Amino acid sequence: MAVLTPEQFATLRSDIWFSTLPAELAGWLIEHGHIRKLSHGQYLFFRGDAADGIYGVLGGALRVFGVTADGKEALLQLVEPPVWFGEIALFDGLPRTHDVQADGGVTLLQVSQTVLHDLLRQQPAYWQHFGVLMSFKLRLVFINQESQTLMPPEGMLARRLFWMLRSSPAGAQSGPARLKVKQSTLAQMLAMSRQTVNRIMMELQQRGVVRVSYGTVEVIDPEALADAAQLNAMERKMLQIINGRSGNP
Amino acid sequence: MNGSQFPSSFLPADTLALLRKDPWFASIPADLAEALVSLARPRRLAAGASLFFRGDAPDGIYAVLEGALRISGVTEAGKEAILSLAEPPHWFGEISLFDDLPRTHNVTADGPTRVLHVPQADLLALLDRHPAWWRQLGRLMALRVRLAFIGIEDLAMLPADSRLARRLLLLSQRHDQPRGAQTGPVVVPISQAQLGMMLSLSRQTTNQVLQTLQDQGVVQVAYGRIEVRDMVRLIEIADLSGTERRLLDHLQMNGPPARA
Repeated sequence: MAVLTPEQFATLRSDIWFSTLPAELAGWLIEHGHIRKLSHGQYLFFRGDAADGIYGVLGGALRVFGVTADGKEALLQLVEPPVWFGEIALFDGLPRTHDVQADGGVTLLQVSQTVLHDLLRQQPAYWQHFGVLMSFKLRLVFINQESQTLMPPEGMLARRLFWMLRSSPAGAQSGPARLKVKQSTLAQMLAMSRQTVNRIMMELQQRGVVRVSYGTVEVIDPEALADAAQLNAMERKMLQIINGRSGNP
Repeated sequence: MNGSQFPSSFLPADTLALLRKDPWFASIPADLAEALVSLARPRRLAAGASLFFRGDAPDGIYAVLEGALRISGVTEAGKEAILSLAEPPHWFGEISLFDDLPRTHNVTADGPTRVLHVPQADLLALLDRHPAWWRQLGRLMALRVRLAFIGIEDLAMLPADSRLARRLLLLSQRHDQPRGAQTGPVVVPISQAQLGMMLSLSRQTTNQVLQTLQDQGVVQVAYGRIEVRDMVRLIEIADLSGTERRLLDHLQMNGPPARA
């Protein structure tokens, strides 16, 4: 059983998925989870590994990436608190889709696959909740994929920042918020050059949308960021509904 | 195996045989397959007719029986991006079933199309009675996430010819063709322009890559369709990773390795 600090509890509760779970399921996950710590560079698992449960990030950041046959790395995303992941293989029992490596020191809450499957045998209706975790992920994948195809680099970057902000605890409140992300990481995630990312960031900074310093992006004007992100109809409705849902205690 | 016969139903036997060619549908418990079929209503769409739009409220899940559906997104500026083409006997619509959030894409008939529709209210009532079946529907979504991840990585890392070969390979797996040996040519009913849009490739690049593949005898391009003539060579050009090969095997094997 995991013993969490009050800060870790607060972190988990700030997640857009975790905060909508029935109280008994949320409590069960904490009760049956155990704390895992990784040091910088350590791998959590590799692409192709058998599944071993789901994870909630309590502290630090993890790189989720794939390595091509000729050794090139493709960064899918940087996973930070309070995001949960690992549910895809919970459903289909197939191997892990990506390598996951600690970027700095990391603290995780792991709930093992066997324990989860025991719970789901007793409470099969909970499958829907784990499906919602996956559906959120798929929606964000579609959003990013489409902006990569259709949007100019400015819109693409703004959109990625907007959704990173919205999935972070800081972004749940209105007003300025700080995102811990390096420009080089953004460049890798968006398959853009560092120069392009830097140019766009400087433009956004001049317009008073963000303030950039090493390793952080402070979003000064979330409204203006949402405008620059050119959210589509689905994203706007999705936000309204999610905001409504997590507004309920 | 869940090879039991379906009970008498208004659906003709060949429709059931077609549905069972879908790797997901073939892998679900027989009683769930029966329940889906008994709740399903057939619908016809004329060419260009829309099934639903991005942002619409969820209304259930669908299977394509005939024709094809274009799954696309449109930006505020009016630019269209084709995500994929849904062909028989593909099932879709499960994302909004889970989270009750709006539809992610526009779905439009690409030619005259027949679908089966399992309405949301009936499906939710069924899942209330059999909550373990949520997992089965989740497996459909898990497959979609895996394919989306592959697409993203390809876009970032691969040259145009490998990306095009991979997409053709996936499209030809999904198509309503005898599975397994796949000796004869496999026809993918997609135009060059559509394939290019799915891959964010220019028309010129798409044309160039297809021309090279045609010169090598791998494909034959005709109006509105592409025939795969040499599947073995296409798989080589697609340059699949270990995980992708396993996923492809999984799609062809007609069933998941693990079942609860």
